[in-house]
Amino acid sequence: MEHLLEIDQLKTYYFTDCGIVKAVDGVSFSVEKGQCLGIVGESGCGKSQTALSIMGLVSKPQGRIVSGKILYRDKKGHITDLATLSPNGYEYRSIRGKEIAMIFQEPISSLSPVYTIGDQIVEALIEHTTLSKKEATHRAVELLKTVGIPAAEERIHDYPHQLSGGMCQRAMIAMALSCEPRLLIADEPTTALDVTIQLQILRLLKELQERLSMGLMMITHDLGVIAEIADYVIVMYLGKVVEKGPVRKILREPKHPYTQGLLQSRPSGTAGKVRLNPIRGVVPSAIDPPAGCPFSTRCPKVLDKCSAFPPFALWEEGHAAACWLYENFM
Amino acid sequence: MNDKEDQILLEVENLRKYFAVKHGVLRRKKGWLKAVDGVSFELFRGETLGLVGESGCGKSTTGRIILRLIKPEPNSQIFFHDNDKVIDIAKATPQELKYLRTRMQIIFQDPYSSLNPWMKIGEIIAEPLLIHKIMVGKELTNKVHSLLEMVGLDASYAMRYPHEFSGGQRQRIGIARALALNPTLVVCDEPVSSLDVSVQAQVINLLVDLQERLHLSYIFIAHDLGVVRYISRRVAVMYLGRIVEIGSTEEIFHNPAHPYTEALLSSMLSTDPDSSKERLQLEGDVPSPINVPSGCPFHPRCRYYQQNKWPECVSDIPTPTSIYSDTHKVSCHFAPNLNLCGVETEGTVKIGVKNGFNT
Ligand SMILES: Nc1ncnc2c1ncn2[C@@H]1O[C@H](COP(=O)(O)OP(=O)(O)OP(=O)(O)O)[C@@H](O)[C@H]1O
Ligand SMILES: Nc1ncnc2c1ncn2[C@@H]1O[C@H](COP(=O)(O)OP(=O)(O)OP(=O)(O)O)[C@@H](O)[C@H]1O
Ligand code: SF4
Ligand SMILES: [Mg+2]
Ligand SMILES: [Mg+2]
Repeated sequence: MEHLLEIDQLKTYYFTDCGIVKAVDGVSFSVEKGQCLGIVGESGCGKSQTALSIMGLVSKPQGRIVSGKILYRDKKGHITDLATLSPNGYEYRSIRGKEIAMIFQEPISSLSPVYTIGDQIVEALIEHTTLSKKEATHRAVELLKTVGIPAAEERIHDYPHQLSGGMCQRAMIAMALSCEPRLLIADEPTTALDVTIQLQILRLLKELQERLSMGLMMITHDLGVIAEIADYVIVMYLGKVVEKGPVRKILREPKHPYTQGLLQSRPSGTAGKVRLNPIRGVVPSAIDPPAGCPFSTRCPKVLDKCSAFPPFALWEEGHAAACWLYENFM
Repeated sequence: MNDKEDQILLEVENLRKYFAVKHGVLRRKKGWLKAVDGVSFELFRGETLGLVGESGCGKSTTGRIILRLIKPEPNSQIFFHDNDKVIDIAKATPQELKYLRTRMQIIFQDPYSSLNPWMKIGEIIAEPLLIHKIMVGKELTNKVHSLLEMVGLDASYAMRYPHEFSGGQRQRIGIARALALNPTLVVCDEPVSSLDVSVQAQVINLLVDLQERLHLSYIFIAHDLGVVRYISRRVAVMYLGRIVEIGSTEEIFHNPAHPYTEALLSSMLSTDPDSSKERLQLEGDVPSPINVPSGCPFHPRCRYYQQNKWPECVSDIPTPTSIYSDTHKVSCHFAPNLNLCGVETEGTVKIGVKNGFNT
């Protein structure tokens, strides 16, 4: 298949006073057109840094993509390695926000408080398209309607603080969609929202992804969100991909002890009769990760050979887990 | 269920809290924000009551009033049944308040900002004991160490600072501090919301263990319905400052009687990729508590009102009424006529009136 985006052995490191933080440490995956890829993992495992690397927004001067490829295939079929582009150069700017858009983890911080939401969407449209101001305004209203903001004609005159959290999040989505991106990266877009609004937003994203045949990368720590929206999933731990596969495989037949642990820690069913089964211990520091399998310090099934990094074991439908418990290596 | 569990600890009656606000485009209109508007419930000894509802519906305000961190409107009553006496928290004297502070504690959502970064862990945990002049010296040190061990932390951590700990560890420190004075009631305000699932599970297990050992009563505020269902014996569902439904966890999750509860349950996500793709989607946002809709506050978003346009829903405020059992109460004019869907309930959602109108 010809991938929309292919990440190959991406490494994004932060060079800090305390040492090197290997935020993303050899991650590979691909995103297809019209498909939703879910990225799941605990806080600090490198989900946002993976996304920011794709957007060319790794914070300078400490952070840097040290190696790996980010291959993006444009409309005409040209493949560009984004990792080699200058983040502020013309080429990146013509892709970022236009062909690849992102909904950031903190919604409020990416909408400017001093401009109305209408102005912000219109500005994005004028920058990235050939629309006139009048056409862009018309389009902004349409977009706000698409994302389910009632009375959009009036709402475009509102400032972000006049909107509820869910409305702001929808305005953000409208802005991200303004230029009809081919790939949308959504970084925890519903974490701060009520469950009822969360469901509205997830439904909306799924519908848009299917209708516009867009690639969608959904970053979350919630396996419930994954079950609701993802087609294919990668599970990250300490900067590395530990398991990947179709959503049903990952949720029904998880192979990696970390994925199994995540699923077992979720409370299910009624009142505390069965004790929850949390993963023991804490995530080690990203500055000083364990040698070998990153999960070895907490894994209930750890073996001697886990002190070496495990290759991916493979099952049908591209289901793979980096774990020494299995022998079906490539 | 033993006798002790059925002893009432707290009786909350007609709790109200209005905040004076300026609103409108120019912030010139004065008005009242009805954060809590007539909440009544009981809490039994040793039980966990879950409090759920959308953001801004008044959960935290309810918890904070009970602890008297804020003062309720006149006529609100909160009877605290202590060993041999009953104190109305709403009208407590300063002396009673001081005593109550040793009986009730709160655990906050954010383990990062709720601990003073300049104090050592030991000092943070010892602080309430010092303020209330309970103990000093060697006895205090021993108590701090035993509290740390009780929440599964090493006693040596007493000498370290909050920034050296992870979110889950900080939340344990917050719990140790809350338990220092041997309270009977602990309000847990989103205690695990900011934690990762695996850490969340550790903290939930700890809260359950401590409850059993110390016979604590919890008011457990959370928006994660999975967590609430797991930890609570009873659940109260709030909407716009009111409790719209209350009942045992079983009753609420399997047999919801309020259309809002039904919608809330329907938006619960599960890890089954094929689970109910047929969800009821609740349209619209929570209305502002400054302009509460007339009649039933839920009517603008209620699918059953939308279909049937019952005039009562717009004209009369529904009051809590028993349904299905004595312990299960709902505030909806048409609850007996509706056939609502709970979690894991078989069959399809039946819409509209089942038995015709109630008169
Ligand atoms: N500016 C920075 N300087 C140093 N380290 C950083 C910086 N930004 C991120 N990191 C580190 O990179 C690692 C990955 O962070 P990232 O934000 O990608 O995690 P995440 O998976 O998105 O977590 P969360 O679920 O909390 O958003 C973490 O260990 C983090 O501390
Ligand atoms: N000190 C205050 N002054 C004015 N309004 C307030 C104050 N405290 C709370 N409110 C308002 O009262 C309402 C209820 O707030 P509360 O914090 O109790 O909600 P909540 O149910 O805990 O919500 P969340 O789930 O977001 O924590 C909200 O509309 C809030 O904006
Ligand atoms: S009283 Fe009417 S509007 Fe309110 S929940 Fe019941 S049916 Fe719906
Ligand atoms: Mg992140
Ligand atoms: Mg709150």
